[in-house]
Amino acid sequence: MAILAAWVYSLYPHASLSAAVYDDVARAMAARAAADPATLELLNGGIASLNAASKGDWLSQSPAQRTAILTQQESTPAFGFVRATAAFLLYTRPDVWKTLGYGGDAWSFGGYSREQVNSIDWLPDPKPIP
Amino acid sequence: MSKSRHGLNDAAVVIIGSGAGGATLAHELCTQGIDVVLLEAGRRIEPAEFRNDDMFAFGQLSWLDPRTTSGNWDVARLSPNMPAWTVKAVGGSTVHWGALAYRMQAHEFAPLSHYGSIDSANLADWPLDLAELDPWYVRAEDRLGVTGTGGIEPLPVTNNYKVMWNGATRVGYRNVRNDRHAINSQPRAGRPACLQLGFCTSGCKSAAKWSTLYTEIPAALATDRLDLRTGSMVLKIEHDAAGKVSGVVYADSAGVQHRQRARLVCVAGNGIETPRLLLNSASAKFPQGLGNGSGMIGRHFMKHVNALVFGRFEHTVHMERGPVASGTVFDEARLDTARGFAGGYLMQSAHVGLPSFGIAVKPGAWGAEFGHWVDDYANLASVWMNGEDLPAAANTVTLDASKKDAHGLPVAHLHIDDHANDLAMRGHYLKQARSLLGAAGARQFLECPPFPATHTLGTCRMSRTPSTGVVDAFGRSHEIPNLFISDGSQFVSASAQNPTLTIVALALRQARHIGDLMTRRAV
Repeated sequence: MAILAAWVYSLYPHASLSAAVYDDVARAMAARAAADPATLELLNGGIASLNAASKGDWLSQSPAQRTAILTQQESTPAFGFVRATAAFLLYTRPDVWKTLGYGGDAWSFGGYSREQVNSIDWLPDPKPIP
Repeated sequence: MSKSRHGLNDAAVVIIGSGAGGATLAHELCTQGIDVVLLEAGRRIEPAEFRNDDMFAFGQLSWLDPRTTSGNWDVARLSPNMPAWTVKAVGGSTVHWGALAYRMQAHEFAPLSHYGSIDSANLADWPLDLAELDPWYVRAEDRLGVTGTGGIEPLPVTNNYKVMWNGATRVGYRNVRNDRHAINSQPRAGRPACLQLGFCTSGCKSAAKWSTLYTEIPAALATDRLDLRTGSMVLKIEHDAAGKVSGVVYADSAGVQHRQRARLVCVAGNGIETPRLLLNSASAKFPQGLGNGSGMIGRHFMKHVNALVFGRFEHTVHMERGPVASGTVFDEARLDTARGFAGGYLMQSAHVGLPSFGIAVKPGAWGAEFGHWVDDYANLASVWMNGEDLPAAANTVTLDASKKDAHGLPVAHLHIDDHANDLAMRGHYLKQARSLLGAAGARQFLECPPFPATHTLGTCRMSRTPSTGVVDAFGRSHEIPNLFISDGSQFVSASAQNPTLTIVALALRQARHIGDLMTRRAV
């Protein structure tokens, strides 16, 4: 699990997000893979490939080295699965939206006010339509 | 499931598809006292079921039945399993649309006359002009409640529009406006004003945005002449020995097939499903497809040239607040071949949510640099392009015999090669968008590749003569007097404008024409 969480972090690193978020995404991904034998084999094979390219332990590599190894693997089906699933699981989380400053479900708070919709104070307002 | 008002043996007008064209036509015909059976493949999803959630909405609303694609357009490489993004629900793509409602420009009805012949394109002039459509545009604008028309106030200025307006005016653009929305700025027509949710394209939960789902459909049902059958996928249009349409075969949501008799049939399934249905309705008398003697059905597929550019600013923008498509720069929609291409394009302040940004708009993106873009989501503004692509005879919707749908019918295959004119236009836009965003203060730019097609046009084009098109100036089949096309398939050119207002204007006009023909027993 630690290696998968680290893989997700290498794909989509956000200093503002806690380790718990990445652990959670990794758990959810592993659960998806576990539901289908072919996907589980793909995922395990992908992890094995990372370790093989690291002479045994991808986690012990520096961040730059980890990224370099991932780049070598980026055309593989395993990489494709992990990348697409990581992006989906990470960027559909309301806690991630909150941390990254995205408003999310506006219906839940009745939509934005005029002041919020036009909140920019570093540019002048458009002139009215002639 | 709604109770059937009309029996299978009642020869009503059968309309296929409940989007901008089909539902508007249904409403108009019912108001004229004509019985209509409207067959919609999707189900009726009410606003209470919509969610302010990009990914959920995608799964809920999209036409996910398979289509295939080929050609050198980017989408064939980036989204081979989903070359088009249309809606499967009552309301069609009016559930998803951003509600930008423009009239075509006069010269865009006659591109052959104005642009001249262009290699590898099959330009043609429409058999009608802006003057002819003008009164119907007026009616359509009133029907849709288009801001900036009929005294309707524009929506409030949004952050994303404010950035675009400032950048645009600084680089010298003169025609920048935040009107032309089919979205209530005040309560109107029994629907509330916009709540500034920012999820127009996930289905409007407040119903402030015009969508046939909660406008034309309920109005038509109130006449007691509409029989709306949802979950009803039309498989084939049948004809009699004389070559007139006699009825349609459709599958209901349980997969059971039914035959509905028809006095006439109006096809409004969009620019992909309409030609597909006509091709799948081939018979001994119409071996190339129903009404396809000209061989033009499925040809000249147009979708607009599109592109999306993000600018990254040093201060917060919060682009997601307010309507998805909040304003327009019109300057580049002019005809000016000195720029290196024929036709023009609109620039629109159009945002995407963080999920779409992180997951969809930059396919395959990952790593620290992309992560920093997502980190700065709140400091991003974006400009979208909608440009006129040219009709090419080789850009086609055909039947993919190697892939069948759940009913055993060949799926639609889109073959699209970019035209040099499209590429020159996109290149120009990318330069202008960076200039504009830079003038507003952006320091970094992210260009996104083209998206799957949502505007699907041209595949049953109008023409004066039967050999050069599929339908006449009223969308009536040249070959089959009681077969009509009522969606964007009729378009002869794409123009620089988003198509919905023109589709509605044509449907209003076609309804009058059909009513006249029926009254005179000419059909």
